[in-house]
Amino acid sequence: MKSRRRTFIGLLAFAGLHFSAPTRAETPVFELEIRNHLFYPSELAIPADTKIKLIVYNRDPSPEEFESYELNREKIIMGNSKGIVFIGPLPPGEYPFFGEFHMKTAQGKVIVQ
Amino acid sequence: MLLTSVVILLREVLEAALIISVFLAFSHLLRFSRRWLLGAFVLGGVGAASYAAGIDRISSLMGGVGQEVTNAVMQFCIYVLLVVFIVAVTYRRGRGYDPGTLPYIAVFASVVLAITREGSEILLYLYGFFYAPQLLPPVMIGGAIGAGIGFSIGVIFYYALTVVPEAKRLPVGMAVLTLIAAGMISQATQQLIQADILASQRPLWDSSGLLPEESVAGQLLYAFIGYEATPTPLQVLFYFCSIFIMAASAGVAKWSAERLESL
Repeated sequence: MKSRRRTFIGLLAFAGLHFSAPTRAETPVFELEIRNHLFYPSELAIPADTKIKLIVYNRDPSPEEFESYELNREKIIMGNSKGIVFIGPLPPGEYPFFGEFHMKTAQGKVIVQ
Repeated sequence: MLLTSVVILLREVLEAALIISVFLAFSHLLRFSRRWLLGAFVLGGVGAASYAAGIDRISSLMGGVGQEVTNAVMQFCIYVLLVVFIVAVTYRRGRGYDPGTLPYIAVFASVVLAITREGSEILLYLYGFFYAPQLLPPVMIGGAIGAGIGFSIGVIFYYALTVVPEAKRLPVGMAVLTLIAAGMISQATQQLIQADILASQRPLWDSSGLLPEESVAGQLLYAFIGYEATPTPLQVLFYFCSIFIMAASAGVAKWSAERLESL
């Protein structure tokens, strides 16, 4: 039991090392807009291996959910409002995202390069 | 529009429906009255409406990540309540006592929280269509179909659990609850990573080619065991820690109940 507990504390300490360092000030900011249930731009290029702060402006009156399985992100953004989503660091590639509430039209992708 | 609303309602209803069906299957064994369900629906509905109404203000808290933090806190609370439930039931049953009110409270509160979270998303989705009233009828029909499928899966799951012999039903149900609870912790971790409170890392693996998260099987597994196609190491670590803590707590409860019994 004791050694089990020690392993557990070890795991927690390991996890603690991964808590984010205070690098927030240098995080590059990118912006997206939702208009008429479409994303502008629909393709967003971001640098590889870099954490970015994405600000999504919803210019529609209706709420939208910014969602991506590839990016593991989901966030509700109310109408005429904005939402912040942190993305990355990511390896190069294409990461589709969509507006869950209007997924027929609200489609886009993040291109990491 | 119709298909979107089927998928959204199905996804949101499924998670709450699974927890509810496990608790319903337990109710008989634990001699619970099932009255909690109605109250939990009403209170959960009120919670969902309040959360939906305040989401803009909540989102702007803490530098724009209030939504993520609130969701993570709710999911963490559901996890803790499920641990309390399992520990209390194991301990009191081991001692041959009536399970008492603690598991009852844990059941009620966790279902209220689950409905609040999933329900608020449904309400916000539907609310958007008041700006496009011509789409409201197909959306409502699609939504009803999706919710119907979600509830049906819950009902099927309930009957599957009641078929399990009584002696085994409790351990089986607890194992299911443990996996659902671990899924909550994985989701909460995900939300805190999105909020940049926990560090973002490269995924530990990518099984999206094998089993895409957006597939039907992927969505079902997501609701049952918190399946993610590209989880980060931290998510996986917390997932397994949460299972370990749950199992260890239940083990200790069983052990101490048996020890007291033998005294």
